[in-house]
Amino acid sequence: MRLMTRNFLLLLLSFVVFGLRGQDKVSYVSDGTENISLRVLSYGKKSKEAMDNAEKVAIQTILFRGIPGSNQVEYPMIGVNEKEIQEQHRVYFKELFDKERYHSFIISNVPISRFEKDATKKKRIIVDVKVNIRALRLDLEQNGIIRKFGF
Amino acid sequence: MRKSILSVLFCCMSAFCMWAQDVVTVQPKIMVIPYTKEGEDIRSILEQDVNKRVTLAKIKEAFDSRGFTTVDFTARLKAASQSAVFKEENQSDLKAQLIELSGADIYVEAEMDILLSETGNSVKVIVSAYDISTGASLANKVGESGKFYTEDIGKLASKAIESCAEEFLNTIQMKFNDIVENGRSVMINFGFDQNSAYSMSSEVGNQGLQLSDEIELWMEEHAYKNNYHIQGTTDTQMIFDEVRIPLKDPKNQSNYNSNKFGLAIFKFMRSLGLQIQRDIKGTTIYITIM
Repeated sequence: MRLMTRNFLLLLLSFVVFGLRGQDKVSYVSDGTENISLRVLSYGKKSKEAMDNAEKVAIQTILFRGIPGSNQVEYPMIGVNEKEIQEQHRVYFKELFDKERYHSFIISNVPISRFEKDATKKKRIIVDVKVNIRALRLDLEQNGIIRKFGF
Repeated sequence: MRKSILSVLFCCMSAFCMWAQDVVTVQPKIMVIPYTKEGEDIRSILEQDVNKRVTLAKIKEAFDSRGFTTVDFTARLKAASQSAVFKEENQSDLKAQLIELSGADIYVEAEMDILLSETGNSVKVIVSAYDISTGASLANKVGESGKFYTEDIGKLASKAIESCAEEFLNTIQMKFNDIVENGRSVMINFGFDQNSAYSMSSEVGNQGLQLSDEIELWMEEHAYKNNYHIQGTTDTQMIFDEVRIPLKDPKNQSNYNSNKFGLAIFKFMRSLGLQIQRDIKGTTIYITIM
């Protein structure tokens, strides 16, 4: 009985945690000279968390999804199978995401909305994020995550 | 103590050997050339039109930004102009010969279209990359500058190239990744000398198979990942328009090329008791059976 109650509470907690956070969205704004501007709809409990999350989501989208309409990263920079790729290069991605190295590839991060609740009562912010594509690509090449241009 | 020193020394030697075996793959040679219509002089096109030179320079710049150096078309053109070989030929042949003599594996052709209007001028650039040996198209993109009230066509051409260069290179890179995965393409042409006593239907080897069958069985075994395509077979000719060969020799990881594949064919033909002549132009292998 106690075990059942514990499992129920854990399930309830996970619903609450996921319920608080919506699905982040990334859309293309413009291509610059070796940089790209993206508009990110980012969720978080606090404003800073949502702003940081916007940068992370922008980098993740470039690496694993690609940005349709963009000249520079129309296709994912690495590949769509992010779980397998991150498993394969665990050290690099731990450094990039967990240790927040992704901040170093962000040129600017400008909020264009207030940190507020959306229609579903989830807190979110809209941020324009500019990413240094050249530096990101070079970093991936130098760490052997993607191949350099050529064979 | 002595044993441990020896084992450490052995480990260091093994590590060194492994490092030494890490051969850098030979990169493809890429040449960027202007598009020419029939009868147009490729030599004068670049000299007369600064905007076309800007377009080519911008494309080369895009390759440079990825750390890749292209074959200098202008230098090759000047060298070709001094060569007597080209003087008697027509312009379209000159272009073909220039591509062939450049030693390039891939050429990128750039076409520029200038659109002048009262509401502003714009430039459209069409860039296409081709594999020289097979003629396969590797990437095609159209870049547009957008309309501006300017007469600086060179600047508009730059904008047009910038709008598509990265996407163009990314598409080429996707094809390169396929080459790394599935091998590079070579074309193989089997033919016969005029005085040859053989034909494709001649029975050769120990199994009493026809020569064309023996060749195909060998190709099936030696093409990288069994990847080959026969364009056609007649009694006097057999053309493989695409045979994939590995980038690196699977035996020792050294660079592998069409020349080495040609040598493998030579050994195979000798094993069948046939004398052949081999000619290799870029990634096309011509085998003439004597």
